[in-house]
Amino acid sequence: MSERMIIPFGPQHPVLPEPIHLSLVLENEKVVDVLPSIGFVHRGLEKLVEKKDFLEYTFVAERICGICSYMHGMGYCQAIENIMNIEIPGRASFLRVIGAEFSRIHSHLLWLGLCADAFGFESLFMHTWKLREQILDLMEEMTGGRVIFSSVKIGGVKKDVDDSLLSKINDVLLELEPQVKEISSVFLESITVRHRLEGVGVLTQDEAVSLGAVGPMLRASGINQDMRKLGYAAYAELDFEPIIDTEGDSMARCRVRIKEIFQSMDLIRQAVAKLPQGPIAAPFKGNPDGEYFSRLEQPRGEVIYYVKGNGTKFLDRMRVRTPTFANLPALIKVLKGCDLADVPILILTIDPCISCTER
Amino acid sequence: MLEKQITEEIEIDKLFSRCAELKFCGYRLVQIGCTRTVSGVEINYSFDNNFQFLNLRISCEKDQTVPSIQSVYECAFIYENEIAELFGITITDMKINFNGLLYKAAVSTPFGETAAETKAVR
Repeated sequence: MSERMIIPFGPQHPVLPEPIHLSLVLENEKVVDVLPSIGFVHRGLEKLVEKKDFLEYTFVAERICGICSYMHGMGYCQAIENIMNIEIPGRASFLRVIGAEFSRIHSHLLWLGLCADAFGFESLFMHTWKLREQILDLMEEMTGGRVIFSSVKIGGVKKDVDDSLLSKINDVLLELEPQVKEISSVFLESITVRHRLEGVGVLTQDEAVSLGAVGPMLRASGINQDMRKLGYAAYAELDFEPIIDTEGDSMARCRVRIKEIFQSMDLIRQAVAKLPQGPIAAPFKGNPDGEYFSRLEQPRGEVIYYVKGNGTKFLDRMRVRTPTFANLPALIKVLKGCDLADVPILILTIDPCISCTER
Repeated sequence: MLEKQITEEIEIDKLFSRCAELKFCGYRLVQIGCTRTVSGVEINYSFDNNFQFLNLRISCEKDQTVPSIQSVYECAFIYENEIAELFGITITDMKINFNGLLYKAAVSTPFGETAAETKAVR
């Protein structure tokens, strides 16, 4: 029997700047068991709800993560709106879709760049992030921010988008699409990339379901599940089908994310075309009294916001179940049996957001 | 759009069998979340089956234990370990138990009790 040893991965690792620690139990070069540890930068944002009133907490929710900031604010506001029966105006719903889909494109391009960096393809990494800049520029024009947007508020959105910006959004997407196609072909066809991703970290359909995987991690294993199909914001009025793949390996997860970038571009175009005129926020008064589980599809998968109000300005509870936390069991599964050299790329293929997990 | 959400309040001793029924009916476990109440905690077990959202709720008094549902829903281990470590709830028969090693938090069971300073702010 081979001698077992424990290799620590993280909390500081070149491939993953965010702190998660994995104790990898190895037999020779094979990982046979994994013990995860989180909490190195746990910020207690859920606890903070006891001290901040529910209006102020929107700003805290947005700071859960710098990548899905827009959707964190949106999920929290959606929960409060459902508790208080606030119907947001149609224009605000469509603007939320545009903001959310920009976030998805930005997040997936960020992930593709990190993935390229992880297997040492530096030029591909820089090219991918160069394209991402164009999305960040558009988001900055739309919301005023590049990381924390402070754009979504309870009852709607804070900032309207004028016709010239809508037209610019269409123009930039038109220019960006062929450029993303160009880098996509490198990810999907280059022998170097395929060698590192194909057949690595296979998660079967049954395993993905039983381990509670979400988002691209789940859809890459052939499960048709996308929370946008719930029809929140304006998704019910847009035409799209979830992107799924069947291989369940790291390449399938990469393919799903690449296809979702193009799907997001299409959804933004649809939303721009259908954007109704009218107000961007609904007035409301009072405090939330009741509870609601708000569900959204973030770039990394399904996120849950549980909000419980008691009729005062302070909430009793705000809990976020982030997609990275839900994907940890699946990560542990795919790591077991893999080669030590594949560990960094496998951790990356769940697109981990430790900032979300350490809310 | 308001999603229809059903919450069933059940006794702790019915939890395991109800989870097994839901599993048989095709429900997936979405999350397990815990909220502190005056006398203990309430734990929400959220399930989904083709966008039908169902929530099982148990109330757990101080010193009560909660059975693990890992043998029904494998992925429950991550939530059960989280609840045990952040809220200090004892969960029995956990197949995968990190024994307090999942969260490297500076304060043990940070959601264990509402801090005195929080009450003062309110």
